[in-house]
Amino acid sequence: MGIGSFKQNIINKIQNNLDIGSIRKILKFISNPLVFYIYGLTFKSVSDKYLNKYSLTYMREVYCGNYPIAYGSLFIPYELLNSLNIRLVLPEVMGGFTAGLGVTGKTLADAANNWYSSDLCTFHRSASGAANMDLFPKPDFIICSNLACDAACKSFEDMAKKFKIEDRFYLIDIPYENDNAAIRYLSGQLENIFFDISEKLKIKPDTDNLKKAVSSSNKLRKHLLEVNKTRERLLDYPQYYNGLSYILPLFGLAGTEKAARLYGIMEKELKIKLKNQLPSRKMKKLLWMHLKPYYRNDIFNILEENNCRVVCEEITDVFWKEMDVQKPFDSLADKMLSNPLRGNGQNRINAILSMAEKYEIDAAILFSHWGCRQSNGLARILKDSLADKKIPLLILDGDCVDKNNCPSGQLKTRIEGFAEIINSL
Amino acid sequence: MMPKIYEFFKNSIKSSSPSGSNKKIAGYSCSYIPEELIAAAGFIPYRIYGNKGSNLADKYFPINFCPYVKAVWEEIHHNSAFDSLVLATSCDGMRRLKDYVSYYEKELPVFMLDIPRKPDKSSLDFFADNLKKLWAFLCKINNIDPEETERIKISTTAIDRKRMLLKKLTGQYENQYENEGRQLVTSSDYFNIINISLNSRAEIFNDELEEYIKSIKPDIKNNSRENNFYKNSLEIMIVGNYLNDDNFWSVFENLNVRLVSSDLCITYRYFDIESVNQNETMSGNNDIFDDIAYSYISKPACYRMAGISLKLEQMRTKISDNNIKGVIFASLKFCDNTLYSFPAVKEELNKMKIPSIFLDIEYGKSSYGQLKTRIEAFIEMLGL
Repeated sequence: MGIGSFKQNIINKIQNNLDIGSIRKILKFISNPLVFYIYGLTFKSVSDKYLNKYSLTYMREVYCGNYPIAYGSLFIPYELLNSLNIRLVLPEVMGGFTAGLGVTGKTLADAANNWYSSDLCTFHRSASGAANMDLFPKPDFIICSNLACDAACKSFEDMAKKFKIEDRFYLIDIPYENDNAAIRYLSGQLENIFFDISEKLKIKPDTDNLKKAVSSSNKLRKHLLEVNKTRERLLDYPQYYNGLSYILPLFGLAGTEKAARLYGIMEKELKIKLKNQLPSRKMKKLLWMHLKPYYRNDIFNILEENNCRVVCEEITDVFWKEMDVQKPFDSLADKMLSNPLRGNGQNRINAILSMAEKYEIDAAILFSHWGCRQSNGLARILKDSLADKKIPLLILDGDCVDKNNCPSGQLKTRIEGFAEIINSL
Repeated sequence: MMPKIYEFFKNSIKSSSPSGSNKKIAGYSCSYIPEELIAAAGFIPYRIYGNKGSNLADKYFPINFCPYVKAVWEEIHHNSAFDSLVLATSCDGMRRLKDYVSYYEKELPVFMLDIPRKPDKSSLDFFADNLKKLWAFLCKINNIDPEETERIKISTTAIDRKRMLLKKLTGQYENQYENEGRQLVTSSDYFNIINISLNSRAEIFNDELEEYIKSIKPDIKNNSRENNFYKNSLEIMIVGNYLNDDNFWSVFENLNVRLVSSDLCITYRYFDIESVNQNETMSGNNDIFDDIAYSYISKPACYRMAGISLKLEQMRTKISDNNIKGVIFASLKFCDNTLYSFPAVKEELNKMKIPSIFLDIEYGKSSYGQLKTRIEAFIEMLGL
């Protein structure tokens, strides 16, 4: 038996017997100082190493049972929850986690057995299946919003019903427009949630802590602005660097000092890379829209092999202004309302066109994740808007979570065809 | 072929055509959009039916996208009959529809009504504020002073009467006696009448519906089981979204069932709305927009709204009150709000031991023969 088949046997064993207990054991094993040290050595980039070690520590905290747990959708103001020392589970991360573990087949099958239609988004289906299979700790709170899509509102409410915590389910209703009435409406909801959760946790609502969280979030923003400014000219990235790998710290851990520190490390690392970049380095610059597949895949390698480099992602753009620490609820409301995925599609188009100009991109890719109505529904307008600026767009049909719904050969052919076109321009 | 019932309502149908009136037409898309505001601003409110026959929208939208949104886009893109549009933030699909209208139909005035998802006080205030913005938008197009809110009270009279008559019709349909084994109001007729009500002038439709209701009164004297004038068909509840498809309703022809307490965008969610004029203080304020906001947010909820448990509780009550034997859950394909709600509905029905069937509807393009076979098999199973 070779090392390869031995490794595969262990993976199969883990996948076949995966439950919350075995996840705890795996996390405990990896957290052993020696294993943790060796694990850290496997990363080529400093920020990647910090991210992975940090994520692991965080996951251990999520599973240890010492912290209140909240499930939350991607774009809610996590500063608020982090200030209350709650540990968080995000469906997009849950979906990615199940994809990374290779158990999506099981979680999706569980969702299907519970009448979730296969027409629905795999992130939410997989997260529902995983929650139903008790792969994640039971939540004390569930918080979601309709930013950027309807899916979280419904799938999370169903989870709240399953876990019998409907009195601890909060839906943040995001207004379509961004005006004073919208800020008032949203800010009021955030304030109510903060005070209600504090009451349910039987702690005194600590707005000072919230202000600190907002301040940390501002630090993260400042570093991210520098990161993005560096990336406008950077082509020579650390190996395996991918902006889309940083969803958990960018959103879920916003408001923590560690997340701000991670972006500080990233800023430093990328600036060094830029300083050492050879002036002769030439590649086609791409903008990436939506998320990426979270299972093992070759998309970014294929792009590299074809002289293309993703230099910016719509999701890592700094769309919000610096927050006023003294007005945390209004500021967080404003941050949510500034998100280009809210409301009118023109918000997203404007953000994309502005990034296209700033990064001087040659082409763009929209990863058309199965079942994502809000993103894919805008594809034609995005294509036409970018075509007006003479920027080609590849609409890459696939699935971020279910690799069986994303044939690798087909993706390769499409990416190579697209790369051939943009390299000839 | 046009259903026979259309002959009875020919004036109503004529009133919705652009040539039948010198009034402007405002297309609208959702039961949460108050048609009384559209009518008060001098428009004919026209619930957009969509062009179901065409596949041209596939050039714009992905394959796995709401067929109703696609059909509506077809109608808007290829039909210049609308003078303005009022859409609502019902779902992601509708948000994208608004984007397509704004991007490709720049000349067409379009308003997006933001509907809150919760029924609390701040949501009601927010909704009332949005209704004021809608009113201002409509008034501006027709050069009406937005201060003339008396117009709204006048228009609610006709709309209220329409709702009252539709409820009466529903009562006749759901509790009707049968004549020689034949329903006096067939399922197909019932849903087609509702369809007509959605986009004809309320004043004209009301008169025709009143006449129709008078014409279907059974002969009470001979009303007995022996004379076969007694209801004996199977009560089935249908739950879903915007199922406005005469081909789908025709599937129920000659089946011995009545679709009772249906929970659809075109039935109770459309007409079971508390009248603004009946109780001026319903919102606790003396403001017409607050009152409209209150009455619309309090109406039977769509699955997009928060509060699935309340929705399930209402479903339970309806099932036991009406002796419902089975539930058809029919959803337009790719409707996230409905599809995400189905697991909870199914679980509840299983607990109640009520058989149910799930149907995916293509909106005008379904395989109706196949649907009929499935429904027949379901009904046969219920009858055992």
